[in-house]
Amino acid sequence: MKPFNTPSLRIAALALGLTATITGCDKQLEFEPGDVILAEDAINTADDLQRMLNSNYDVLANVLNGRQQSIAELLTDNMARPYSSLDYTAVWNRETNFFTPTTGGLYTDFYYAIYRANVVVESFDLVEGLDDATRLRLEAESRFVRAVCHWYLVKMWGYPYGYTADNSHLGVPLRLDAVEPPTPRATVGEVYAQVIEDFEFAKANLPDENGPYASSMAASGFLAHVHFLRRDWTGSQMEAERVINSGLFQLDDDLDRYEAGSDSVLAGDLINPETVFGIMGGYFPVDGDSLLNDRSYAFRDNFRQDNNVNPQLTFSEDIVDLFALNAADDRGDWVNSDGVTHKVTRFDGKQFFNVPIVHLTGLHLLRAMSVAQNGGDLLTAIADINAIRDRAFGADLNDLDPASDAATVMAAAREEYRKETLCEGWELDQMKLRGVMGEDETVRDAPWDCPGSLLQFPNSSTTAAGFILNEEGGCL
Amino acid sequence: MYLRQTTVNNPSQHSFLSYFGRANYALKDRYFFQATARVDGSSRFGRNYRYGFFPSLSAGWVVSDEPWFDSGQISFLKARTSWGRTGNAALPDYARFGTYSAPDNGILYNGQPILFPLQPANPNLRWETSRTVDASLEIGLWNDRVTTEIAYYNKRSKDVIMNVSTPPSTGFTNRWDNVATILNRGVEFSVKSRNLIGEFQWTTELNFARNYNELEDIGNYTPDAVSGGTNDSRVIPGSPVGSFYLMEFSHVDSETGLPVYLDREGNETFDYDNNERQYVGDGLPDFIGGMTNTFRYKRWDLRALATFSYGAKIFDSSSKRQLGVVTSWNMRTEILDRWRQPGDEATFPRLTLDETTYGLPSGFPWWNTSLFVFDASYFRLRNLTLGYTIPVIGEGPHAVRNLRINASVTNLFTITNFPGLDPEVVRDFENAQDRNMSPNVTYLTPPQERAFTLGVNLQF
Repeated sequence: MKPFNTPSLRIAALALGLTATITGCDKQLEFEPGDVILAEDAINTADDLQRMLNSNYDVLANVLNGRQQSIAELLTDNMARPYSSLDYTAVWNRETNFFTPTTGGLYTDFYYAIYRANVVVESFDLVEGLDDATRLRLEAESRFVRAVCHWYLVKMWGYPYGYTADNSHLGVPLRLDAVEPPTPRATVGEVYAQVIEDFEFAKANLPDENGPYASSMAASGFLAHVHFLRRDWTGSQMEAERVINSGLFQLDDDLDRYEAGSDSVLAGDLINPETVFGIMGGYFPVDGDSLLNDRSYAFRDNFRQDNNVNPQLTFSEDIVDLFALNAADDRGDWVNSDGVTHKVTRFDGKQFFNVPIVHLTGLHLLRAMSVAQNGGDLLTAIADINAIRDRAFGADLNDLDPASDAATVMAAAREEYRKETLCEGWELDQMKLRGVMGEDETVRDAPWDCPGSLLQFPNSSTTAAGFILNEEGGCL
Repeated sequence: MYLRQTTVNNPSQHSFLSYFGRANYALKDRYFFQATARVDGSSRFGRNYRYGFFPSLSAGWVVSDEPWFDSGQISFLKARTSWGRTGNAALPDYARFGTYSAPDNGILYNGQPILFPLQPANPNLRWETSRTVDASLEIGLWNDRVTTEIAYYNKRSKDVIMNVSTPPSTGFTNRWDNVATILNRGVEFSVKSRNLIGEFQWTTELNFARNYNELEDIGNYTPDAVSGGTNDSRVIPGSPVGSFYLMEFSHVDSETGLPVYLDREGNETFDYDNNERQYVGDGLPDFIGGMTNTFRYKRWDLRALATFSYGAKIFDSSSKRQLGVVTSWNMRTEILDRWRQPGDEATFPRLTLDETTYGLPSGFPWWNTSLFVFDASYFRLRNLTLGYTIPVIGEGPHAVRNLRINASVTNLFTITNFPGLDPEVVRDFENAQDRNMSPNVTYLTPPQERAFTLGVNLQF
């Protein structure tokens, strides 16, 4: 029989020929982008993982450079109405909506960092010969960043821990995987459980010191804050004391924790001695050098009044009144008031500076408050408060009476905490905690938990069906 | 047949690889059949979804050539129908790849280099396909003095490729995906009539088209997943693509001068709530058409082209700055029709510098409401041309073989109720999604010009 002399064989031969042609030409359809790296080629070495981890810190530096802190401050009684910013005014009025770009951008950036952290954790198998110690460090640092971001998110987009008895109220999406599809909001309880687990992992697997990066002490510092908001006074005190007693950090002699760089001097070389974890702020460009690391711009641009007649953010009357109680308080110099506008001087003269996030001052005062709540040794708490007051008023000039009772200690610690953390955003935690503890807490004549007090999720969050937004419109 | 088309536009490159064939068969010059088949491959899709198969079939029947057909009135009658499947690969060249920054991205943190992702991979991107069925009738009457065609089409596009917003919690804010099913169906009608013949000639050409567009499905996405253009229009299942998705405005309260809105249940409210945005119209006309009348008398000719559109809406997006909350923008004169005192029945509410007066959230002066959705129906004399032609002037090699002088006016007048500059919106968006999403949204969009032209044409 001759080949191809039947119809079926002819068809088969034609199909075979067509297949061969398509297969042969298929390579003509392979074009890859030339100026970027394909995802499958991006991570091959331990250096790649380290650079990916660096990008976690990079994003963290871009949200904790004053952006998060400014927004958190605006939700409290610390700030006056913003000068002109529509977005900041919406935050101040507690009327953000899903089109508010400033809050939407902040939310998005936190998740950028979480995504990158998850990529690091999921990419260890791509690197041949990765030693266990490096792998453990990378995972611990990544989970530290993930915990920081989840915690900030749940604090600003969810009601606080304890708002419902079983913490089943909605928090934020919990992302532990880089590739899973969009997920709904996890409960606040679930988010806190994961945050604690990640911080504990970092605490157990990182060195006590790690330069400006995540460390075991930094994890403890954050855990002190986290447990404090959970009203786990013992846990908060224990973590704070671990840092305080480590001897690795000392209270600064002066009130300025924001160490600034100068011409050709990296602010990163000037880490404040009480910074447990912070952001490296960069330096002035010199001789046409490009600015490589500006990580303090939102503080500078929002608050500085020495180079701006109308700074965007100024203190409220409350803060003026707070300092008016004792004119000897050197922190009163942070306010430049003409009786109408109360400008912030804390960042005057600073262009690029480091940003302390968790610091020893805060931990001393957290310990004082935890002890006061927990019925512990009040002399320890009083010593913590007096250490802060000595710096602000002068040694022994305004000390708390050693015989003070727990309520007095608590009130004094709260007052010092509020003053010390002005512009740092921590007062929002205190305000929500007081609210969830049942204290009479109002902000600008509206209940602390009025609908709108939580930031609204960005519009893009709702593009996957079923996402539940925060309630709006009940604070004015 | 085989065709490979490569476009190189550094740094972006793409290529298509196509195989196609066509078979025609004509029987007795009355029955016509055509079948085509093509396989297209695109570098924009991954190996699993790279190729698409796109066949088509069509048939035609010249009824008037049948021996049994005997009509003194109908000089030509042809029926035609077709079915086909087509593909679309209009997306960026490298959308399917997950990518990371180049090593030398120049970004440092604390003096250390960083590596970061740029876009998510979507290896499942595939051809957007459209299935089209159509049928038409061509008719010639009275020795083709009047010819007409009526056609119906039904096109369903699946796996429509769009750039969608994704929840930021995924680590990215947007990606290209096959997301939608879109239906287009409609009828088209055209007629050409030589009304008068002889020394004075009059010819009329009329065309009319109606298209129905509906976004049938958008998977697990919400209307806000797809935006573009001015961001006031969305994809809403059951409505046309690019529908206006706004807070519905009801009226101005005559006692307070405040705007009254309607929520999705139709209840009146003073609160502007972005969660209550809803479909309030679209830019798709109920029908469009055009008509050309040509007159010739000896050496004179006169041609008038008119176009019309009925039923489309325009969202005048800049009105929120010109007729809404008072800002640094200039206001338009329509604002004179505003509420001033109790009892006033006005089109626009009381003036305010404070957006919360209108129930808007503070810091959100973007008063996007149906108050600024207008009827965009129009009739426009698009072109009027008067010409005079002299066939020959002179003799010999330097003779003018043809001299034509014409005067024309473009966009001489427009009849419309649209209060803005031009009911026919021509936007300047660069990409297709922006154009498709905001087909009839104006934002200080310049009107089309009115042009007067005098022409002389010489042929030697």
